[in-house]
Amino acid sequence: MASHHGPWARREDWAGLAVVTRVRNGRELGLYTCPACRLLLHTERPIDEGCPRCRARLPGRGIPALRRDRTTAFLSAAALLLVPANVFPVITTATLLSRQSDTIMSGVVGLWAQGSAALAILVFFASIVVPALKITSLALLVASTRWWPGWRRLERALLFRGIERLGRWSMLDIMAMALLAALVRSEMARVQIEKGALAFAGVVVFTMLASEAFDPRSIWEESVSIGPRRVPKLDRENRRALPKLGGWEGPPLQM
Amino acid sequence: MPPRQTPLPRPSTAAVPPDTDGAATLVLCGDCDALQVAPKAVGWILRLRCLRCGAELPRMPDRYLEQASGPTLLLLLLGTTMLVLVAALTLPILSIEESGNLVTVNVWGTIAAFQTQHLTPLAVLMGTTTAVFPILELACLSGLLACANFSWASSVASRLARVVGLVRPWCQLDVLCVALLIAARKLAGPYQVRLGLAVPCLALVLFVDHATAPLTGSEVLWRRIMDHGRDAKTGPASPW
Repeated sequence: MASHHGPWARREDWAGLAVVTRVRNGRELGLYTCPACRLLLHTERPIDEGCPRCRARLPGRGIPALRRDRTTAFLSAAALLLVPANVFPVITTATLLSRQSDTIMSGVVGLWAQGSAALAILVFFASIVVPALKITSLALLVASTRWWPGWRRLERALLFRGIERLGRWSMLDIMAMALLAALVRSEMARVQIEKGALAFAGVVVFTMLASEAFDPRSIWEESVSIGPRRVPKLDRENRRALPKLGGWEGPPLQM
Repeated sequence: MPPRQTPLPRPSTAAVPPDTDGAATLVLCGDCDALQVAPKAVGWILRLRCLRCGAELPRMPDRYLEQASGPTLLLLLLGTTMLVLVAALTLPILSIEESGNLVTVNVWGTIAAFQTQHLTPLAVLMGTTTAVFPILELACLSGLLACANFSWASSVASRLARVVGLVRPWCQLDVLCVALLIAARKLAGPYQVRLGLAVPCLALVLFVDHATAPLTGSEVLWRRIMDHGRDAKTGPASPW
């Protein structure tokens, strides 16, 4: 696989030669996958009957605009909580002699001062860079899906995949704080988790919900309709077109 | 004379059946929705990538499941992993020594630390992501394999598969393992820190969980479930 634009995919075949293949979207052909067993289904099949393989209830393909609105709502909540999460202290360390409250950023600085540069960088990325990056990237993806559907599709798809993988690591600091609070609870020293941690956990949860609500398939659609789209039937032309799809160039396929 | 085309599985209006004895099947990429022909998985190492966006297409090495004892062995593996996970949650995960006193904590104790500080939402979040959802995921995967082994209705199996799909993104045992290292490093200055027995258990659980991730989409598994269902007259006939 090397590159793609619009309905065309450019990749390398087994001999290393570039092959350009016409790719069609499942939505275009009225195809979708069962959410439970991943069987390929056609929308001509009545949804009430369920999946013929596993009998799961079929939600259909959903309405892109609704999914986009849901993503926007979760993103807005996460962006609002990002401010208190970074401004208010998340942890307080009390000893017999002193009492120190730390925000996420001052915790990173403390790790750096202790000589743990690698861990400080890790926490900085997981707790500060990743949530902010996730919110801005998802906002960009939602906006581009609505207003510039044809703009840099592959890069946007890679961006989504990247933030989806990285986003869950934002919980790192919360879990580390829980371990510290559970262990350091003697009379000499005590670790107390502050309300800022609640706001930070809210950011993590809402960004995860936003990325789950976003449908990455909408990046590859030519245009996204506002309401449910009329799905084309598998007419004779489509039936003939199906065997030409895909990039399989291996051994002969058998029925 | 037009060139002779290679015959491919033809879609029907009901379902596009996978070829039962052929070498390939039609798949939709979950990330970009591209329809493409994918070869059948032949071994553990085959990784399929979408030809348009490069996303990995989940495939279970079906050859293993096609063996008569395959699902039974996988069921045993998952059952054992579930027990290991319960042990990992109960065994000490990290301990510190301060002037002769040894303080030990396990995952449940970590969750309880939030609760004792009146931060119930955080306790719930950590409890679900590190304990409840991972156990639920393994239990549902075990149930799915039990459906293939015994004559359980396929509707039960579909519910289990959907639960796995819902809870999997929220399972964060790997994040817990890295958080453990951060906490250990932070405490390493004033205290003597020791990693507990739960750490290797968590590593094992993570490995098995990663290896069995594509199980819910396995054609062979669902064919076995449907065959059992048909034999027991509890489900509709298989579409292929």
